[in-house]
Amino acid sequence: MIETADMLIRGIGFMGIVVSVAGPILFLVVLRPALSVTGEEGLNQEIGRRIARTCLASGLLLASATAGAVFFVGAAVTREGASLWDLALLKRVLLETAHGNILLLRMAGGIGMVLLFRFIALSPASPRLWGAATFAAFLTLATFPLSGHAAALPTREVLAMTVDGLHLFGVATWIGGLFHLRLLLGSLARDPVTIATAVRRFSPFALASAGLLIATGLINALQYVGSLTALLVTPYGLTLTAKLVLLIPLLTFGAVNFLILRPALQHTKQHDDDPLLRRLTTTMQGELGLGLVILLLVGALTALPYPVEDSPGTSDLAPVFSRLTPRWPHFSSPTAKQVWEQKLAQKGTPNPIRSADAIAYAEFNHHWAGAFVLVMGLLSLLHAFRPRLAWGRAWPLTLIGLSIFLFFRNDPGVWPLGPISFWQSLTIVHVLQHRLYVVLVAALGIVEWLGQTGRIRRTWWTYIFPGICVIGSLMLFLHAHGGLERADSLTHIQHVVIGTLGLSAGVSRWLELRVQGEDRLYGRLWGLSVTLLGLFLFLFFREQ
Amino acid sequence: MTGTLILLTLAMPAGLAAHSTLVRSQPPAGATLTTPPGEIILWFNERLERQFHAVTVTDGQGRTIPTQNPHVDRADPTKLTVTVEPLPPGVYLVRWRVLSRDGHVAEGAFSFSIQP
Ligand code: HEM
Repeated sequence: MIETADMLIRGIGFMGIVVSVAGPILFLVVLRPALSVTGEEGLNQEIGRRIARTCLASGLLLASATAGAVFFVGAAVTREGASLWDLALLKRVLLETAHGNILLLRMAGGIGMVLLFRFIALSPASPRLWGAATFAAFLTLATFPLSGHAAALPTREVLAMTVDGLHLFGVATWIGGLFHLRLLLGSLARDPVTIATAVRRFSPFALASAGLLIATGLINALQYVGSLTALLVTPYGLTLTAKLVLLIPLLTFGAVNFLILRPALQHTKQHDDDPLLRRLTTTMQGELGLGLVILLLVGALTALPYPVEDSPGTSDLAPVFSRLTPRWPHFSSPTAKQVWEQKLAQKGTPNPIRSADAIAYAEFNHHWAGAFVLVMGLLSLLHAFRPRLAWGRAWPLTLIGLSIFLFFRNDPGVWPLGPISFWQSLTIVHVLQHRLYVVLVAALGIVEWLGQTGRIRRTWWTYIFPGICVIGSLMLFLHAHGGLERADSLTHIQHVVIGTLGLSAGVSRWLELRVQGEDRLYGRLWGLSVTLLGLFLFLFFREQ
Repeated sequence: MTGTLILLTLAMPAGLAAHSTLVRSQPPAGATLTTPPGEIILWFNERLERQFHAVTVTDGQGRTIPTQNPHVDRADPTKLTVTVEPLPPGVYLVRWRVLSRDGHVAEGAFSFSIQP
C-alpha cells in the first residue's frame, strides 16, 4: 500500500510542477503576444489572472506532494522499527541528506510559487511578478533531476540530469500547457476567435515540446534500460513499455488536433455550440487525460529500480514468452477443501511450496473471472455499436456476477467454502481486503446498472468507475515487483498487459462519459479494451 | 479495472524492491580468507547518502561483531567502508542497508569465511 501511495505522490508532484512551469510560459510566450497584437489588453489580464490561479493551486499541490515524499523517505529509512511520525528523524532526512536538502528546496519553491501566483492573481499585468514566478518555477523544476535516478548515477550524472531536466521541461510545455489551455477553453467558450488564436499559437509549441520529449526520453531509456530484454522483462522496462504504448494514442490525439482541427479552426466564427470546438475540446481532453495518466505512470517508473546493470542477451526472452501462449481454460478445479488442507499441511515448514492444486485453483479463478470480463467487454461493444439494443446496456450486471464468483472462490480457507467462519475471516487482513474489493465490484455493478437504465441521474459519481480503472491499473505496475531479478517476469508481463489495457479502458470510459454519446469512438475503445482484457485473463493467464 | 480488481482480489501482498545493488565487496561475497580483514568495503551501482547506512557483521552463532566508523567515501560516493576488529576463524554474515541519492533504500547480505 505504501508503495502505491509513494507512486501516487510522485505522480501528483509531477503534475504540480508541470502545470506550475507551463503557466508562465504559456502566458508570456504564447498567449500574451498573440492577444496583444489583436489589442485585447482586458482579455489578456483576465487570462493572466486565470492562469495564475491555476498555478497557485498546482504550486500548493506540489508543496504538499513534496511533504508527502519526505514522509516516504522517512518510512523507507525506518523500515525496521522507528515510527514514521518521528519528527526528529524527518528533520534529519531533510537536513542531513542531499536528497532531503533538494526536497526542502522543492517545498520552498512550491510555497514561493503559491505566494507569487497569489500576487499575480491580484495584479496580472506586473512583469516583475511574472518574472519572479517564472524564475521560481524553473528553479523548482530543476530540483526534480537533482533528486531522481539521474542524481544517483555513478558516472555521467551531470549529463543525465540535464537530459532529465529537458525531458521534464518538454512535458511541462506540452502537457502542462494543454492543461491550462483546456481550462481556458471552458472559460472562453463564448469567444471562438480567441480560442482559435490560442490554439494556433500553442500547437507548434506543443509539437516542438513533443519532439524534445521523445528525443530526451529515448536518451533516458538508453541510459536506464540499456537492452531490449530489460525493456521487456524487468518491472522498470515493462512500465516504460506501457508508457510508450500510451504514447501512441497521445500522439494520435495531438496529431488530430494539429493536422485536422487546428487548420479547420481558422475559419470558425460561430459560437459555443460549434461542433468543431466541441470536437477540439474532446480530443484535447483525450490528449490531456492520457498525458496525466502517463505522469502517474512515471510516478511508478521513478519509484522502481532501473535495470541497466542487468543486461542479458535477447535469447533470455524466449522462455518468458513461450509461456505466454493461449490455452483453453479448465472447466474444473481442485476443491477449496483440498487446497486448504494442503496449505495447512505445509504450515510450519521453512520454505512452503505452492502445491500444484493451489496453482490450478488460482488459475481457474483468474480464467473464469476473465470470462466475466470478456462478457462485459462484448456487451459494452454491442452497446457502443448498437445503442438501442437492451442487451448491451446490461454490461454492468456482469460485475455483479463477477463479485459473487470472487466471493466464493477468493480464499479457499474461509467461509462459505472453508472452515474459517465469516466473522473470524474478517480479522485476517488479506481476506478483509479481498472482501472489500468484492463489495466494491458489486457496488460498481449496481450503481452503473442503475445509471445505465436511467434510474439514477449521471453526475460526478460516474467518474468513480474510470477513476478506479486508472488507479487500480497503475497499482499493477508496482504490485509484487521483485527488484532487479527477472524470476518473476511472467507475473510482471501479465500485470503490465492487464494494467495497460486497464488504463486504456479507464481513459476511454472517461472520455465516453465526457462526450455524452456524441462520439461513439470512445465507447468502442472502452468495449475493445475490456474485451481484450477479458480475453487475456481467460486464455493467457498463468500463475508463475 | 476489473482485471486489476481481480488481480488485487486474488493476489498476494507485494514484495520489496532492490534499488542500489552491491557491485562488489572487499572481502568478496562467498570468499574464503586466510587473514582477517581490517575493514569491509562495499561498492554500489549508485551514489550513496552520507547518512542512514548500516553494516552489521554477525558470526556463525548469530552474535554481532562490533564495527566502527562506517562511512561513505567523499571522493567515491559509491563506496561504503566499515572497520572491524580482528576476526577469529569462522563464517561471517555481512548485512548492509543504504540510502542512495535518489531517496531509495536498499538492503542485502553476503557471507565470507576465515580459515584457521
Ligand atoms: C519516447 C517517449 C518517451 C520515453 C522513451 C521516455 C522515457 C523516460 C525515462 C527512461 C525516464 C527516466 C525515469 C527515471 O528517472 O527513472 C523518463 C522520465 C520522465 N518522463 Fe518520459 N519518456 C517519454 C515520453 C514521455 C511523455 C510523453 C511524458 C509525459 C506525458 C513523460 C514524462 C516523464 C516525466 C515526468 C519523467 C520524470 C522526469 C524527472 O524525474 O525529472 N515522458 N522518461
